[in-house]
Amino acid sequence: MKNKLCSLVTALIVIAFTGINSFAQKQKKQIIETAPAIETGAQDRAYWSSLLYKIAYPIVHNMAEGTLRKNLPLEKGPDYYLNVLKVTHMEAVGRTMAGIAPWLALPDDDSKEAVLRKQLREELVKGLPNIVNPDHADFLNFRTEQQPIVDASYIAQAFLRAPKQLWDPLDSLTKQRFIFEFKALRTRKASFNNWLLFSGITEAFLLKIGEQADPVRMDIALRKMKDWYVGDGYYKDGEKFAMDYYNSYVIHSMMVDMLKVMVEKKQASQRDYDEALKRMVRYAELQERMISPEGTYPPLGRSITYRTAAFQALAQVSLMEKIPEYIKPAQVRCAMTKVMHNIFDTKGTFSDDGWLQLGLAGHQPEVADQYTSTGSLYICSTGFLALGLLANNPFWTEPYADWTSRKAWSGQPVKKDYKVEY
Amino acid sequence: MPAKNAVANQIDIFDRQVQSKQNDRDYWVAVMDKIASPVLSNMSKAELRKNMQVEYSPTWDGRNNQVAYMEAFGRLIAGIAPFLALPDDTSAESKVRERLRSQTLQSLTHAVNPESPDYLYWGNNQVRQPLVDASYIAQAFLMEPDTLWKPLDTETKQRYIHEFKTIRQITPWNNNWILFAATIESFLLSIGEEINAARIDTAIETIEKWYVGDGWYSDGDKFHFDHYNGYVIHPMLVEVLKANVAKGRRDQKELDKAYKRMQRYATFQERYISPEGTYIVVGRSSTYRVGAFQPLVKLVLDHTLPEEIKPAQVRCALTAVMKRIFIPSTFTKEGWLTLGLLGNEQKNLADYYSNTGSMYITSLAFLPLGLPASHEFWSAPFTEWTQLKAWSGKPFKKDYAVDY
Repeated sequence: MKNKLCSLVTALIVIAFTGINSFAQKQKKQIIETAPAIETGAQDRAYWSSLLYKIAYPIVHNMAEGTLRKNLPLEKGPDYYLNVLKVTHMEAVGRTMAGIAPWLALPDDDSKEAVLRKQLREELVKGLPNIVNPDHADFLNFRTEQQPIVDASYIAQAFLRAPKQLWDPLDSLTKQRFIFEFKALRTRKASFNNWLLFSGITEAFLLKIGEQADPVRMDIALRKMKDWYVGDGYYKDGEKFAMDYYNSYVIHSMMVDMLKVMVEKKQASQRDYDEALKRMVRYAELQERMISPEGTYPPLGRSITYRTAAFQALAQVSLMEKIPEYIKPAQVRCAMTKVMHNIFDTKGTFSDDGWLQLGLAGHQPEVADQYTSTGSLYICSTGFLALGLLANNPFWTEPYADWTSRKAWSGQPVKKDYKVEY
Repeated sequence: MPAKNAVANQIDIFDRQVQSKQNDRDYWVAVMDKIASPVLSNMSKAELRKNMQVEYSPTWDGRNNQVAYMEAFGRLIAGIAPFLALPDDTSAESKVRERLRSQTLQSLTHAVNPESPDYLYWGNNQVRQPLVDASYIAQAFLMEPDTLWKPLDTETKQRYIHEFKTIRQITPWNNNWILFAATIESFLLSIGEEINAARIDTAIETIEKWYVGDGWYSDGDKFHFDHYNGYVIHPMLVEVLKANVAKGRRDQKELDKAYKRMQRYATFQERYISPEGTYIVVGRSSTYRVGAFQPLVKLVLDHTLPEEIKPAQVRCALTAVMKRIFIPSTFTKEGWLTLGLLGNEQKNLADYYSNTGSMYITSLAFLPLGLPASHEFWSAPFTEWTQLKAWSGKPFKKDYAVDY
């Protein structure tokens, strides 16, 4: 109410000082500029939250019911080479959790969205004990195969992102079991690429909760990623550079989250953290530019079926409120909303039963990699991290704003981009 | 008044109705002509300096502003050279070609004639910019020697050789610029002149060190996410290697590897183009517009596109992009390119080193006009490009990093 009064007063002052005509012109101009968008921030948020719920619900609800193994479809990419029954369920669980964690961490209130959120949170906390209970049908495999190194780390990252809501409420037996399983991963080594961060962040979680952690697994992840930094916000994924979205699926996000714990526990310097964060912000700045005026982005590199996870870095930088000043948070929101519509409103992205299907926009199984199965797809939830901002955050309240490519391609002035030297 | 046949076609290339009846090739020729004519019709009469309206970046660094003319001319002819090299026939297009070719040849003589008002500014140790643009002239000679180099009179040729050797006083910056020096030397090599071998070999070896993987070179010691692999690095490295392999100076294997990497890079470029014909605007020099697509179109011209990319899908994608960019307000009233990506309100996009002349690098996208109209690139029906398929739920090719 107070806000409304304020803007009314401001409007009157504007009219008084600039004259009715120019006010009317300004209004008209605004209408033209906002013409493509009919949605307000609140409507966008309602779309995002109902969509994230739609994505996560089948996973979380089946976890709560103890029927995940029974019900999760097992669609596989062409020439799939993993043992799907030993990996896909943890993929679904870990990846979903990592994406919904910041949203679930919001306080309850009487909004519609909060009802969905609360239900997901309660069901998730109910389901978590099952996945580490060796006697339960949904017990997940942490102990063989390489792949669980990846997906256990997304569980650990989710615990780091929402400790009070997802870790603290677990009973002590379940906690002990998670700790045991996380440590059991140490019988295998990570691939020599972005995977180093999977091991690193799982250990960082153990460190965070006061367990004995393997300092070498964190340290080598930190050192190699620093070595593998090539410039302008881009890391190489291993010894060779690859132009794909792994900087977003994994690297920036895990690097920063891992370093946060390491700094807190005096295992890395604040300088390392600041540098990693600056680089992630630069990468996010480029990501905002990757979204075309119509809300598409170039399908580059492997794992393109991870869909909106390609924008995890941008989403996380938004969540951390570190978006460079010249980019309005609302333009990130509007760009990503458009991308989500293109992906999730396309027939075939969801199966008739509501599970994600292999593809980018729709059902396009031929584009899935040899390691991709239904569970892998749930990483798309990490594109929704900004839902962890309160509904009254400017990200959600500011009016529609054109994103950079929309401005550029409609002939509007737009900020010049320039490489960075850090 | 210039003779009527000395200026661009008067068909309105912006008229959507005309466009819809026009085939893509006619559209490309008309746009290219629209871009090229102000430069060439003036310079062929030694009136470029007199008539070109040069706008400088709002953040112009104050370097000698005479650099603009060589930028306009050098960059332009590197893009239109293959088109000029096609044989004459009775088509309407051929008239355009004959006009632009004869204007280019006349302009080429002015560029090095100290007595001509359009004698270009070739720089010195302090003003390094002309190294860049001289190299685009050399690139045009390297690509189409029969059309652009051989017809020049002996005196003009000697003058070029003199300028190309004198320009050795300019040390390139330690980034993509090393290829500018190498390109000029490689042209000298191709015509049997004495070369500065270090300017070639150091460039080749340094660029190799800057290869980061998956078709990407870093531009200097650090990687930058921009279009410099397109504006400069891939095509110039390949041309340099070609010239040196031909003379037995470098190994065919180096050329093959560089070529494969350019093919990989081009697959990204094809994927950059959105369903509605936009592409990612990242990094510096975004005012160079479609010049960014040089590797992709070079492969088209060489018939070496990766198998999964149909020539027609490149044509259709780039045509869609051009129709977004080359709108009336992208040209000044007098027909010069504006600073910006599209329209006339994006002057601030111009980097501190950019001026009206720099914009003519956009002509590099027109390399496929060097293919005859009967080539599949031009004759095949409309074909969807990758993003058009991907974002409408249709099957599309999976992408994967390469290890070369």
